[in-house]
Parts: sequence; C-alpha cells; structure tokens
Amino acid sequence: MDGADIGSEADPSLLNLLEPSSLRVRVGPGGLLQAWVGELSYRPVEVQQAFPRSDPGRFLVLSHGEVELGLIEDVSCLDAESVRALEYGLRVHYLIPRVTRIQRIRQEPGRWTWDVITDRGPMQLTVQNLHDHLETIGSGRMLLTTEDGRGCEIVAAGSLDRHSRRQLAKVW
Amino acid sequence: MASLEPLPPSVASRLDDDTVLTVACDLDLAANFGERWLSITPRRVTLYSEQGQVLREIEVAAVASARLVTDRGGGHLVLSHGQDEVFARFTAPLTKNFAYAVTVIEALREGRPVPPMAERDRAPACPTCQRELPPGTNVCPVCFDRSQVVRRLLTYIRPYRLQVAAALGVLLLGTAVQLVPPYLSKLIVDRVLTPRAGSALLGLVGALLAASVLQWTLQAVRGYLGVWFGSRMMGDIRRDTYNALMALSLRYFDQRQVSQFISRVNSDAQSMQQFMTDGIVMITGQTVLIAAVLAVMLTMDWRLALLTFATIPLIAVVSLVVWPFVRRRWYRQWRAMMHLNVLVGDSLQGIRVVKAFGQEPAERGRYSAANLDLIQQNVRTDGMWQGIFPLFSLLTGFGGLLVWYFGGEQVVHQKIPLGTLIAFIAYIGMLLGPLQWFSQLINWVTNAMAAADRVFEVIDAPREIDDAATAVAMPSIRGHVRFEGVTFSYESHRSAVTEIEMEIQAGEMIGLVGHSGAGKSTLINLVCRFYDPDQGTIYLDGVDLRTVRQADLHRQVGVVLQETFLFDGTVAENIGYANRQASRQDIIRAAKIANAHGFIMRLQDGYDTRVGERGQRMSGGEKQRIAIARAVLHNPRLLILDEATASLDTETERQIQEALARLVRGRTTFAIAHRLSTLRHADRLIVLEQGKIAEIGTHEELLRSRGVYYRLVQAQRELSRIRGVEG
Ligand SMILES: Nc1ncnc2c1ncn2[C@@H]1O[C@H](COP(=O)(O)OP(=O)(O)OP(=O)(O)O)[C@@H](O)[C@H]1O
Ligand SMILES: [Mg+2]
Repeated sequence: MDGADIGSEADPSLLNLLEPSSLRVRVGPGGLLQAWVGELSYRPVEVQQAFPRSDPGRFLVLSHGEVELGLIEDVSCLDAESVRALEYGLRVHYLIPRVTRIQRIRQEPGRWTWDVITDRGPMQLTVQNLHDHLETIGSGRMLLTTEDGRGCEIVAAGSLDRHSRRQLAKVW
Repeated sequence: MASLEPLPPSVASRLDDDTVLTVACDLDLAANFGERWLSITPRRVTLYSEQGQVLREIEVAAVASARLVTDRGGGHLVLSHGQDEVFARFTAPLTKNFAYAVTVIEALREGRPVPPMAERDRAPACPTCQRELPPGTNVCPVCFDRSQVVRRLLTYIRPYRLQVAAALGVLLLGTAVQLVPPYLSKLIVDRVLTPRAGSALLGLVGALLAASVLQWTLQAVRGYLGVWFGSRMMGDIRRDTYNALMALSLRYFDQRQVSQFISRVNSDAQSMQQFMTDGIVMITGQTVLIAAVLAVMLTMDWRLALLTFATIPLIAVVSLVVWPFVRRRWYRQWRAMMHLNVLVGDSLQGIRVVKAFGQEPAERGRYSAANLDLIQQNVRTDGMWQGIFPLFSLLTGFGGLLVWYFGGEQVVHQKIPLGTLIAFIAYIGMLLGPLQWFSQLINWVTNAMAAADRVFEVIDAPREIDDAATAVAMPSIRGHVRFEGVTFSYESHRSAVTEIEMEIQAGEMIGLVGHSGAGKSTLINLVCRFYDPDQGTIYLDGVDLRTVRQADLHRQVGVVLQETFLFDGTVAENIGYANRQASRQDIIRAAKIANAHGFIMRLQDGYDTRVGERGQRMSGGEKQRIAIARAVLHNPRLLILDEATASLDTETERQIQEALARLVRGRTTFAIAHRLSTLRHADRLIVLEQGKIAEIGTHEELLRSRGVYYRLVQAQRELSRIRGVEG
C-alpha cells in the first residue's frame, strides 16, 4: 500500500490547512505579526517553517501562543502584503544567516575562525573543530554552529564566488 | 551601574547617572547584524543605536510585562504596554544577559530590589588572562600556544624515559655504524682496486660484514624497545582519553554523536603513539645521521658536499608550503572516516528497527554514499601524497646528479681520487633515505597533532560537575531534599523546569505525575546531579547538592531510569553492578524483591546467563525488573524510580509494589508513573505541568481540589472503562 494514501483517507481537518483566501497577515506596529483568519483576528502570531531546511517555502505553521492557527501549504496563494509579512516573520524568527561570501577560513591550534559575509551583514564564527560543528547536508549545503548556539548556513557551496570556494576548499 | 560589556562613548554619554543595567544587542530590530544598546534605569527602558540615537523608549511604570521569546539561534525581548512591542533582538549567546535584563525590569516594575546577576550566568574566565573562555573548553585561545601540544605529548614519554634514552643510544650507535660501509668502500677502491693490490681486500670485506651484522643487531634491539614503550605509551593515552570521557558531563554528550568516541579513543591514541615512538626516534636518528653524513662529507671534500645539499632549502620550502594542505586533507579524510563509523554504529544499534521496516536497502544506500565519500577523500589525500613523495626524491636526486657531474669531472682531471666520488655517491644514497623519511614524517606529525588536538579537546572539556576541593563528605544521608527556586534548561533557550519550590521530608515517598514532557525525569536528573540547576539550589539534608562529595551521593542514591540499560555481562553482574561486594544471597534477595527471581531461574544459566550487549535477549519488563533489583541491592537512602514498572502487567506490578513498599520504608523515594494507580501508596504527589509545579498534596486532597491531577485520574478511569477493565 502506498503510504501517501493515509493522508487523503484520514480526516482532512487533521492537517488544519488554512484557506489562503480567508487569511491575512500583517506586521503590527510593535514589530510582531498579526493575523486574520476568516472573521477572527489574532495578535501576536508567530510563523514557523515545518521544514526549514528541506522545504523552507512551504508548510508554514501559524500559531498564537500555544494555539496552532493552522498550516499554510503554499504562501504564493496569499496576497502580496501577507507574503511580505510572513517573510518578515520568518526572517526575524530564523536568525541563522545565509552566507553570501566567505572572506576567510583560518585554522589555528584548537580553533577554526570563519569570516563570512551573510545576508544580514558580516559575521565571525569560531568553532573548536569541524567534526562537531560543521554539518553538511547533501552536496553543497552546510550548517556551521558554534558551541554557544550561533551559526550560519551555506545554501549552495557551488554557487559561491571563486574566492569563497577556494576558502571552502580548505574544509571540503 | 552595571554594564555587561564596555560601552561605546556615543552611547555612554547619553546614559542617565542612575542607569541600572546596559546590555548589548547584536541584532537590529529587522534582525540584521548591528550593535544596539538596551539601557535600563529605574524610570525607563531605552534602546539606543550605536551612535546613541534613541530607537525605542518606554516608561518602566507603563510596562505591563517583560518576556523573552526564543527564536532559532537567538531571541527577542518583548515589552508589553497594553500592546506587545519588540524591544531588542539578539543571537543565542546573549540570551543569558537578556534573561537577566527581564529580571531587572520586572524587579524595577514591582519596586523590588534588583537581584545581582548569578555568578553562574557569567562565562568562566581564563585563569591566566582573565578573558572570557569560549564555551565548551577550559583552554583559552589567547594563552594557548602550539608548542604546548608537543610538550604535553612529550609528558607521555616521561615514565619511559630510560627506555627511550636507551633506544636513542642504540640509534646513535647504529648511525655511527651505518657511516662505516661507504668509507670502507672508499678504502677498497683507493687502496685495493685502483692500485690493483689485493692484500687488504679480505680484511676490508670482513669489516663490511661485521658492520652489517652489528647494524642489524642494533636495529632489532631498537625496534623491540620502540614497540615496548610505544605500546605502553599508547595505552596511557587511551586510558587518559577514556578517563576524561567518563568524567565529562552529560551535557557534553547531549550535544554530540556519542558513537564517534568509540573509534576515536583507539585511533587517535594510535596516531599519537606512532609519532612519539617512530616519529621521535626517526627525527632524532635521521637528524643525527644527516649531521654525521654532512660532517664526513665536508671533511672529505667540502665543495662536493655543498653541491649535495644545494637542494635542501628547496625541500624545506616545499614541505612548508605543502604542510597545511596535507593537514587539511587528512582532517577531511578523518571526518569522512568518522562519519562512516557513526553510520555503522547507528544502523547496528537500531538493527531491529531497520529489519522491522525492511530498510536494509536504504541503509546500504546510506552506507554506500558515505563509503564513496571516504574513497574519494582517500584518493585525494593519498593521491596528493603520491605526487609529493616522488617530488622529494627528485629534489634530493638532483643533488646527486650535480655530484656525478662535477665530481666525475674532477676525477677525470685527477683532482680527487675515484674512491671519494664512490663514497660520496653512497652517502648521498644514505641521505636520500632520511629525506624520504622526512616526507613520511610530515604525515606522522600531521596526524599526531590532529589526533592530539582532538584528544586534548576531550581532556580539556569542562567537567561541568566537578567535585569542588571543599566538597562536603556525607557518609550517611538522611534523605531530606529541598528545592529552592530551581530552574534548569537543557538548551539555553528553553527551560525544562522552572522555579521549582518543594520540600521532601526524609523517608517520604513522593509520586511525580504530569504529562509527557512535563519535566518529571528532569527533576530526578537534577536530584541525581546528572546536571546542575541554572538557577536556584537543591539542598540535601540542608547541604547544597553542588558541594556534596559525588562519591557519597551516588553511593546512597539508587535509580531505575526510564530507559533501562543492561551491560554486556551476566544477570548477576548486572544486578550487582553498583555493589561489587554483594554476596550471592544479597543478589537473590534483591531479585526476589524485584520479582525477577522466577524468570531468572527459567533462563538456561540462571543468574549466570549472559544478557546481550543491550539486553536484547530480555523482554522489556524483564529488563526493568533486573534494573529494579540493581537499585534495590544498592541499598540506597534515596530511591528513584522513573517509570520503573511501566512495562509490567498489573499483577506483577502489584507484587513488586508490595515488596518495594517494605523496602522504601524509611527511605526517601521519588517515583514517576503514568499509571496513576502505581502511586497509590505515595505520601504526597507532586503534579508537574510544563516544567512548573501545578499541585502538591495527597491523592485524596488532590482529588478533592479537582485540579490537574483530578483530570488526569478522570481521563485514566475513562480509558479503562472504555477498555472494559477497572484500573
Ligand atoms: N537531554 C535532553 N536535551 C534536551 N532536551 C531535553 C533532554 N531531555 C529532556 N529534554 C526536554 O525537556 C523537557 C522535559 O523532559 P522530561 O524528560 O523531564 O519529561 P518527562 O516529564 O519525564 O516526560 P515523560 O513522561 O515522557 O518521560 C521535554 O520538553 C524534553 O524535550
Ligand atoms: Mg521521563
């Protein structure tokens, strides 16, 4: 039996998909999101990705405190303003910046220092080693996480500029 | 005024005199990197830009609540004044500072005195330079110097210094002997072959033979010595690494793949040992050999000698350039290897799940991919090596060519005797040896240094829960436990238990109940001191748990953990795990209390039956009963049962309960159970909800107050009625 059948045969309300036409999301004055689902309005609401790495653009979960408002399967069906608001919500929630250029990877005894430029500005990360702190996912996707919880993500190593790729060759 | 970081002047000049606290933010309000400053005075909270502009400001009196919200990799501070407003954004390392800022704002708002920042919330500082240590290590990157690694490695030689010295002595002697044959051949050419006079020939050939035999003997002796102390040294390194692993905090393992350490203990020790035995002997030996050859050659003909060494600087430069590449390649290869090891460990540990879901092909695929990666890394690393190696030979060989040409010309013009040239060529052959070894050496040193880094990293990792020098001895615990404002989080941003206040009398039996994930296991993890609280204190008989000598604590605490673990060994060994002196009677008695005796006797070898590596040959309930027997035999003052009877049928559970009831008399007991009937006998129940204590009281009291517990009980009754049994 195909496992995918389970979803369609089971109660569809289990997924709690939000109807795009009846959903509006805006950034409120205090920098927090607010949402209108049908007649009801919620504030503040948080948005999360169900698959932040493997499918970041779809399956967004909208919640208000402990209550899950529902699942947005595809943002592209929403109005432009809501899409912008959700993008903002995701950007301020996922604080792992994306690397746009690698300035320098330096190895010193007992530590690796990465100087990178990201979509949120330049940052420097220092890790003790790579085997605990650099995670590679598939080919070309990397996640660097420091002991104290900072990090950056390289989405596609192959599409970085030459200088960055040369630096990256030191570790890859 | 307290500032957690040095302030830029542009901001400092803007601050009021009565500022209570300033905290740096590393993100702006749009979550881009940027410096922002949050200042808190008794009257207002202000967010400044780096230039000192006011970005947000609110009167403390207007703040209805202050809270931290966790984001992925950081968080934000929300102040509410009827409407929520984001006041600051920051990345994860600053979370502690903002948690403190929230405490300060709340205190000011309520007119309470501002509590000081807990010492524990500050990052530990380097004892030498007082700079903040990076997380996860005790080694300060500023005070750390490279030669320290080498020096530390050398300390492993110390216990065997006599043997090492002997090996070096033998080596020197060997080197001296090695120099003889070329010289003898020079004599043969010059004294016998050129003048065609055979009288000295036999003697000279005899001397050659003697030199060879002596050389062979010395080599054998040195080789044996090397193996002798090398193996011991490797053993010492393995022991230290393993001991360090045993001493590491659970937190360290929480954050890492544990199976990686299995191979690391052995393979890293081996790389280090290789350097310290073969490597050091080789360095010394070959240096001496080079020096000796150089000296002999210089005395024979200094011009030819200089020609020979013309390429040495080139070799040095090449190796310096190549070294970093080699090192990184090795590391990359090592990581690929580790990944493969982890993969194997993982799939074998979960082999039942793999087979149950028929996922062998998928696992094979995963392995193939990792294997391919390792193959590629091997090819890259060793391939590069294959290229570099001949390069070294070529460079040294080039010196030989120069000697052939210029030396040959001089022999032709009769400026030097033929024997000298022959001896020179032979010595160059000997030099070629060391220089090729030199490239092998790079390889060893690189590996050893990398391995040493990893091993020392483990050894230097902070042992979160170390016995203080002033640890209090508690030979006999009564079992009074008090939690005072205890907050704990596994990961910095989400607390597992919050503000726990409770007092448990010695000898009391406490039942911990609550939904899955409520923090029950976490509470007992804290009592066992697997972790230390982030805030607040746990007192055992009035003594701060952090200061109790750990050996005393663990001798008197018996636990049955939620995940039962049996070691590879016999049933008896597993029961007697924490009490090696236990007699056979004790073991049987404990097994009977745990209601395990019956099924143990049905096993083929009774108490001597081997249970598999992870107790795979036992049923879930059987494993639990062995674990209970283990805790019982330990005869603890504090008994902790985390879902200890969850996998048992009600009848077996009842029998164990009765036995335990007799046992727990006079001992403090914490019992966790989802099946609430299990906790009927508890003196008091503590109900947890989302990490906080929701209710405390006896079964009857809690039923009467119709709170969380009442609902839990109702829900379970409902369930049993549906099933048609009475629970
Ligand atoms: N080692 C860990 N690292 C990170 N988080 C953890 C760890 N152990 C537990 N947690 C988290 O801490 C919270 C409390 O867990 P705890 O094990 O105390 O729950 P519990 O009440 O024992 O639940 P259960 O009844 O399911 O055993 C959970 O949210 C859990 O995800
Ligand atoms: Mg638990």
